[in-house]
Amino acid sequence: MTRRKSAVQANPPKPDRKKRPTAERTEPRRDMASMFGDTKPPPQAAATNGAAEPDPHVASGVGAGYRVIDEYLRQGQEAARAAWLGGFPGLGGERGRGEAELAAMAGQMLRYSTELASFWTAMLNNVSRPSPAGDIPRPPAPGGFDFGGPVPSPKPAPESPAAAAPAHEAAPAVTLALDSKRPLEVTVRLDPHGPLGKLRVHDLRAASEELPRLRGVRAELRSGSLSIALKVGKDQPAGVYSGMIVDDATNLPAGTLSVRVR
Amino acid sequence: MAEGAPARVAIIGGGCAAMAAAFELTRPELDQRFAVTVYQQGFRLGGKGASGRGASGRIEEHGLHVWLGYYENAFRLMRDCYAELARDPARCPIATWRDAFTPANHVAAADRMSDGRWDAWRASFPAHDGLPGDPTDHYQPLSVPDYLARALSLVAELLRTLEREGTDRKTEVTDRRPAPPRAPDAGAPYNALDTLLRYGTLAGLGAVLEALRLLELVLASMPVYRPNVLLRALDVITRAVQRELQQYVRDRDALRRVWSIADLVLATVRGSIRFHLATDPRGFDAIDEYDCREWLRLNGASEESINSPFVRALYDLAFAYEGGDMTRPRIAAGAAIRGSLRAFFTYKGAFFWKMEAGMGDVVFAPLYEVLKKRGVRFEFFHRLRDVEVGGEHASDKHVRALSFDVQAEVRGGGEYPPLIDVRGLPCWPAEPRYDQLVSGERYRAEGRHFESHWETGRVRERRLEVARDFDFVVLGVGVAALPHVAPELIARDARFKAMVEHVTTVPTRAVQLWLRQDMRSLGREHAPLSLSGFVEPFDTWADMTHVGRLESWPEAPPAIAYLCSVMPDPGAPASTDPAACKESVRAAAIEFLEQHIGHLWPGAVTADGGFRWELLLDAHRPAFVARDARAFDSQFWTANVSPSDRYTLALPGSTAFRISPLDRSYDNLTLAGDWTACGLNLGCVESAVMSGMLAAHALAGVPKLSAIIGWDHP
Repeated sequence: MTRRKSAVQANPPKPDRKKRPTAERTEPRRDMASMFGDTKPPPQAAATNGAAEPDPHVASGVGAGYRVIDEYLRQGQEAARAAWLGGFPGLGGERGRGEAELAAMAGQMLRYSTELASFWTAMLNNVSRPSPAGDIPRPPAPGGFDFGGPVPSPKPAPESPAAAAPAHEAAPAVTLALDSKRPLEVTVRLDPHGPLGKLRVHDLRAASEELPRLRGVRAELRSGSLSIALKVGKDQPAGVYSGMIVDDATNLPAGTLSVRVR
Repeated sequence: MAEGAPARVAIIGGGCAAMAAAFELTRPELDQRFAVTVYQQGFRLGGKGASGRGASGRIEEHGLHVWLGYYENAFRLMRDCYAELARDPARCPIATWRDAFTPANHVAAADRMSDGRWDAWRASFPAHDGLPGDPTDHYQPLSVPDYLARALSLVAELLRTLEREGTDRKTEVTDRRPAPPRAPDAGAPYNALDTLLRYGTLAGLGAVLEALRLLELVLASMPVYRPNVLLRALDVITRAVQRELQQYVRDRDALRRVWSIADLVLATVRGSIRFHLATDPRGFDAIDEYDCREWLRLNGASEESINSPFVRALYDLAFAYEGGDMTRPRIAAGAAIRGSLRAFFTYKGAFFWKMEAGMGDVVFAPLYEVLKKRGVRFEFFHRLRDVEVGGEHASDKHVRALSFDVQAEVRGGGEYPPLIDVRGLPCWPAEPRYDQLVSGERYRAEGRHFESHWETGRVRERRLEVARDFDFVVLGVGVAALPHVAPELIARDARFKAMVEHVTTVPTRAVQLWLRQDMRSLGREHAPLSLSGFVEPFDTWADMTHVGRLESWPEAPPAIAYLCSVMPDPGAPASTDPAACKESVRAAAIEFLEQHIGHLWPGAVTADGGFRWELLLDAHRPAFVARDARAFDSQFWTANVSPSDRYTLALPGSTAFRISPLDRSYDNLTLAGDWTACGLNLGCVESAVMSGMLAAHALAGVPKLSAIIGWDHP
C-alpha cells in the first residue's frame, strides 16, 4: 500500500480577517502497518518443500500449538477419568476434587489464552508487513458462518479478498499536478497487488449526491512514478471526494484517490 | 486590528475540551499570540464536569467522575496546570496534582449468582510503571507488543482474583515441558487440517493455535481463499469446544467469570483476524458499524460471555444505552475495543484515579486560576443564541458573528469572581454568588437556574462581530446543545446537520448520599471500590468517603456514596419538564434504596428489608435524625436532561458523522468536545481534552499532532 498526501495552500488570507492555518493533516494515522512495521517488503524467505520457512515467531507459535494440543488431550483424558470415577460434583463423587479439576482447567484456559495473545501479537507483527506471496485473509461475508446463534444483518464489512498477485517491489513515487485555488489534501492508496498498467481515474464523488463531482482527474504511471493531475474550481464545496483508480485495459481496481477540499 | 496584534479567540463553553483549548492557546511559549475570552452560560466552568459546594461545604457533582489511568492527555494537562499554579502545600490542601488524584485499583462488577444473590466480582489491578501524563519528549504510538505485555499482567491479576475467591489451584499441571514441535507441514495444509479436526472438542484452544499456525503458513504460500477455509474450520471447532467447556463451568460462579474473560479474548482475537484489523488503514474504525456485543457474537463469543457482568459493566461505564433504554445497549465496536485496549493494557500507575474533591475543585478551579493569570478573560452569564456564518464562496465560509443573551450583570461592571474558599481550597459554589450580581437577591428569591436550557431570562443582548470583536471561534458547547445555540449553522450546513442527528446523547441521573455509618458497618468488608453492572435505576456505585475530609461538616461523614446511571430519554427539550425529570430521579432513588441497596450494603436495611432512613445525614442539620423517606430530601440528586448536560454516545454507525476540530469548512471556526472526531471518539474527559488540543492545533499549529497521545492509534 502506498499513501501520499500533499496539502496546497493556494488561497492566501486577506489582511482584514484572520484565517486558520492549514493543518498538516486532518485525520489520525490508524494504519498499524505504517505505524509499527517496516513498510518495505520483507526479504523472500527460503523455501522448504515449496513452502516459506516460518520466522521465529511463527515457529514459536507452532510449538505452542502442539504443546497446547497435547496438554489438552492429556487434560481431557484426566477429566474423563475423573468423571468416570465419580470425581465431579453432581455425579455422586468427591466434591473437592471436582472443583480442583475445574480450577485447574480454568487456569489452563487462561494460560492458553495468554499464549494465544502472544502468538497473535507475533502474527500481527508478521502480517503487518506486506506478505511476499498472497494477501491476508479478509473477513468472510457476514452471515457466512454458522455460530449456532442469530447472525446480524449484513454490514459494510471490509472489502472482499483481493486477487492474489505478487506485491510490487517498491512503492512508486507520487507526483501531484494540482490546479486549484483551494487548499487540498490528497490521499492516494494503491493496492500493492493491483495492476499497474495504463490507469484511469473515475470521477471523484462526495458523500452527498448533490455536490458536483471532480471530473477529469488523470493518473499516469511512468518509470515507477505515479503522476496525478486534477483541477478544482474555486466554487467547489468543501468535503471529501473519492474515486477508484482502475486499470484502463481490464477495469480492475488498482487503488483509490481521495481529495479533501477545504 | 493592528498588524502583529494577538489573534482574538472566542471560546464558547467551559468544559474540558474548551478549557484544554484555552490552556494550549495561552501557553507561555506561544508568547501571547492569542488573546482568549471564554464565554460561559451561568456562573461556573466545568460543563458535564462541573461541581459545586452546597450546605456544609458538601460536594455536589453532575455525576460520578473517575479518571482512567490511560488518560494521558488529560493528566498531562492537569499536571502542567498544577505545576504552573505552584500552590503552597502549607496553605492549600490540594497543592499538587498528586494531592488531587488518588489511585483506585479496586473495581467490581455486580454479578447475579446462580442462587439469585448479587455478588461483587472484584478485581484489583496491579500498579503499572509510570504515572499518567508523564512527560515524554518523543512519544511512540502504542505497539502491539505493548499490548501483549499489559495483557500478561492483566491475565495474571485475574488468576490472583480467582485465588482470592478461594478456588483451589493446587492441581495445576506442573509438567509444562513443551512437546517437540513437529515439522511445519505447509505443503500439505489439508492433511494438517484433517489432523486438527481429529482432535475434536477437547483440543479447543489448541485448535485455535493450530489453525493460526496453518493460517500463518498459508499466508506465505497459499492462495488467499484457503485461509478462509481454515478460519471456518477454526470457528466450527472453537464453537464446539465452548459448548463443551461451558458444561463444566456452568454453576461455578468464579470459574464462569474467568471463562467469560477468556472467551471474550478469543472472540476479539478471531474478529481481529477476520476483519483484517491489523492492516486495515481505518484501524478499529473499520468495525464501528457494529455494536460491540454484536461484533463479539459475530466472532463466536458465547451468549454467557456477551451478557457477563464484565461486558455489562463496560456498557454501564460508557452509559451505552440508546435513548437511556437499558434494553438497547449499543456502542460502536471499534471505539469500544480501542478504548478497552487502552484502558486495560496501557494504564499508568493505577487503573482508576479518583479525585480527592469535586471535579470543579480539582480540575476547573485550578484551570481557571492559571488561565486568569495568563490573561484570559471570562465572560460568565453569557448564553449563546446563534452563530452567524458568512462567505460567498465555499473557500470563504466563516463565522461572521456571535449572538448572546447576557443573563445577569456583575456589580461594578467588572469580571464576575466565581470561586469561594472551602477549608483553604478554591471551589465553585453550588449556586451563583448572588451578592456579586446586580439584582442578585431577586435572582436568589426567584430561584434562577442560570445553567438550565429552560432558563431564558436576559438583561440584554450582545453581538460580537468578526474582525471587530474576535478573529477565531472555538465552539465548545455540548453536541446536543448545538441546534439550540447555533441554529443558523445547523440549518445551512448539511454536514453539521448530519452530525447532530447521528452523534446522539443520553440523559443521566445521579444521587449522592452522606451516611452516619461507615461502609464496613454497613456490610462492605473490602477496600473502597467502584462497582458497575448493578440493577436499575442505579447500576453504578462508587464509595467516595474520602472526599468528606475536604467538605466542611462538623465531623467528616463516615461514608459517602455516589450512584449514577442513564435515565430514560424524555425527548426533545420542548417537550421536557426538567422539574418532573428531577422528581422522577428522587422517586427512583427512594425505591432503589428500599428495594435493592441491601444487596450491596446489608447493614443499611432493616430486618424486613427496608432502608434505614436514619442513616442519612442532613447537611443543614447534621444532628437531626429523620426516620422515613423524607430523609432523602436532605441528600443531593440530579437529572441531567439539559442538552449541554447530556452524555455523548458512540452509537454504531455514528462515528463517521463526527467532524474533526481540524476540519476547515469554516476558516475561522474550530470545534471542541468529546463529540468531535477526536481520535478516541468516546464520551469521556480524555476525548474532550484531545479534542481541545486538536482545536488549539487548528488555530495555532501547536501542540504537534504527534504530541496528542492516542491520536495516532489503530
